[in-house]
Amino acid sequence: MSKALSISSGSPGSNALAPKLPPGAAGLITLAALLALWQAADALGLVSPLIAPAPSDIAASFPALISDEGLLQRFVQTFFEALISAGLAVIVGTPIGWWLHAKRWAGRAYETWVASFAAAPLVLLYPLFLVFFGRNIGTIIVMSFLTALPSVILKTKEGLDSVRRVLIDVGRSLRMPPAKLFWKIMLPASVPTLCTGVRLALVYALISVVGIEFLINFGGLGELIDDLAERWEIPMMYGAISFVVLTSICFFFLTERIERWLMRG
Amino acid sequence: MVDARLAGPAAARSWSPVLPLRVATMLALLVIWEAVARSGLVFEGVVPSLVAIGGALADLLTSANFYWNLELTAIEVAVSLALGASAGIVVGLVLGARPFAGKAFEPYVHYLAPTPKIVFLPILLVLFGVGPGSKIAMGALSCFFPMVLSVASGVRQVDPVLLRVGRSFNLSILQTVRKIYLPALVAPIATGLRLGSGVAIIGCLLAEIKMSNRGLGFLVMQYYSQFRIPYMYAALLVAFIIAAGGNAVIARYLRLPGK
Amino acid sequence: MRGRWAIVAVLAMAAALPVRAETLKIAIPQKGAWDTSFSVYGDRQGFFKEQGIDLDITYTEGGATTETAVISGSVDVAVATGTLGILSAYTKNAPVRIISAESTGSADLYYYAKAGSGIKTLKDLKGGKTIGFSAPGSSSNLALLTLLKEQGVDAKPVPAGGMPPTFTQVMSGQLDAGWAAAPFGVLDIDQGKIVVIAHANDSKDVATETIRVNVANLNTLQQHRDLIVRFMKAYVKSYEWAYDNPKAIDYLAADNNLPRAAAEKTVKGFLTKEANDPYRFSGIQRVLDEALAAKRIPHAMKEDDVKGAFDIVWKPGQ
Repeated sequence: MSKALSISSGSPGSNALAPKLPPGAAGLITLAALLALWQAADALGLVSPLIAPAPSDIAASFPALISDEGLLQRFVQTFFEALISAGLAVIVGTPIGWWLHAKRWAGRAYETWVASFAAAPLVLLYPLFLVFFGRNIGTIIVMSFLTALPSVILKTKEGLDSVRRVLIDVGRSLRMPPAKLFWKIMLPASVPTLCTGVRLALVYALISVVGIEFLINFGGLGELIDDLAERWEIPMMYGAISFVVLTSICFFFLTERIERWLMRG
Repeated sequence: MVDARLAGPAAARSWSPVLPLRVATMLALLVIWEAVARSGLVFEGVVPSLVAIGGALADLLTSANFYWNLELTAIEVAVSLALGASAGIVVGLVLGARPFAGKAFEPYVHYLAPTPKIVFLPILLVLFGVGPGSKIAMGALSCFFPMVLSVASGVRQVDPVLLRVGRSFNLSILQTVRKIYLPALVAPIATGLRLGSGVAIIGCLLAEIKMSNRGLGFLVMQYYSQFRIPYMYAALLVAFIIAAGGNAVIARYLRLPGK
Repeated sequence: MRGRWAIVAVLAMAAALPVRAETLKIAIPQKGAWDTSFSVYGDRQGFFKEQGIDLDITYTEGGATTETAVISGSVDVAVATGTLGILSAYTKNAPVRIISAESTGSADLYYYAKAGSGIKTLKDLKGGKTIGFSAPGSSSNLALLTLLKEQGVDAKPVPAGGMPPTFTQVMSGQLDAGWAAAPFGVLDIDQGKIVVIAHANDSKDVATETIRVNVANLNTLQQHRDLIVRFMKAYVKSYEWAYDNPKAIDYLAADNNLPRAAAEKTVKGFLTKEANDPYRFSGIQRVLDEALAAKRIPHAMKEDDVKGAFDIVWKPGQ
């Protein structure tokens, strides 16, 4: 990674604050300062509590969220819906991605279709999926599976496509049969990209699951947020929202760690 | 597998199966759809015949009401892209060019990026109301993140030599941005726009679905609540074509030569 | 001398100019429904223009979206919003006030099953059969729970969404029964496709509960009270006109793509003038009890506790 120089006219690579404060701490301090400002704005009546209640009220709402609103059970539901959808996407998408890589003509014909599918606002179809699969977990899983699928397909193809020629040549020169070539050389070489695909699948699946739960009011964290909003329980709503943000952060953090660990091994 | 590139110019000019394949696949899908529609397997309303959808589409494309709704969604997307993308470029520049700021704040952006933005919709709706404001806010929020990350990473890859040259000429910050950073950021900004436009469209449509009185998403929900399913499919088709088409257009025309 | 006449002339001209209408933003749920459309019909007849009001209408799906619209100040007035939701919001200091009643009892609300399914009454749903209502806390939900309790039926209520998706689910067998509000489904009843198994008003408790009200945003009330007064004058005139003038039934038929006979049957068979009396409030305590059960209010309340939510800006005869 090239070191970019700061645009300040000071000495190269230096920062006025660098010797005094580690950046991580600076980030946290800024966050704390913003929260304090927010608390003050509420206390002074500058902001309506219906729009942005005081952080202290939001924090105070967590016990009720956990005991009365089933925050943790809902988290488990949302989490597993996302996991199952992403898992299905990986199971179905990896062979498809491999097929697009292995058969040139298929890749050329369909890759752009898959990429366009990834950009499509699938969520708009939810009323129709509702009628097909009913108001139950099936709708959520199928829709989230479809949302996560393109990333797996595209990343699998990309990973396999970009295996360095030299590695394949080495394998061929050792007279490896095609299956062994695939498992011993191509697959390990494409693990980083495949991992990215899995991570993206999880992210898209989570976004889709929360979104549909929100729209069809069916269990999980998404419904909780919509429900609290409709009941004008604003501090609890913010509590639920921050919990979703926290969940997403943890999810992402974990998958990044796993990816890095796999790449080392 | 024969690599077509190695086979020589004669082979490259020979018949490519891509187009016939695509056409055949499309036709097969359409036939399956029509078969399901006519089979009576599913409750009639939900999978209408292609004829009905075609008729609805023709009706839609010739109705002023449709374009009136489409216009608003288009404006919402354009404005949210403009707002979100410019904010994203500015913040990305700062985070990329100042390592301290980057290390302090970029992790927050990085981890907030995959959060489902729909959870912020109730807040935006109360803040901005029923009109286009809440849709623009949702779209801008969605496309801000891909742009920041793309630009920040692009800034970090700017050749340090160029920056040294700029400093030796005593360029002001603004001049450095204009003359050195921005030209080098065309590709990351294009990537950010491509990703951003997709999520901006989805963001605006989601907000319209939840609460609106005009727009493409509003139309879709209206047809659904009136149970005019062929029209709903027609409107959805338009939405899909715009989203996917926009993505493809940006991808093709903003691709740099030699990439 | 001439100067003074010039001023008088200008003033005279200004007085003669038509009064510029003031815009009033209004949210109307369930587009096309009879009782939510009084303002629409009245607007077509020019009653609001008479009061110098230009109606800017936003149609919503109903329920929470209408509440959000008026509480956020995005609209000035919302008609036909659930009393339960509004009172609950009021207890959380939401800036809204009730300016009149809209619906007492749920005369238009009914429950149905697919013809030929063997289900003819609510009791046929015993044993955990499914019946759809729109969304938790809605009138279709609460009325259903009351009916099931009163008749001792152990059916399984399911949130099914709006009337069209509910209809699809019932017809395709995913649900054993569903909810609807006339004029939706009136044609299907006539054609024998569905069978009415219960009316919400079968329950006396439901029939005497004011479940929907008209509300105004508090800021608008405080800054433009006269506008709201004039709105109510035009609204009451529209309500009276709709029940007295057959042309209203023509509007209902046209707006809903219904044959006139079906529209007429809706108004004569399902709805009544007394039900929509803007000044009839009853069963408020019951609303509060339901709100408590749904955890919408923090603790048990009496009617007196929420009387600040009511601001009846104008009554006929004032």
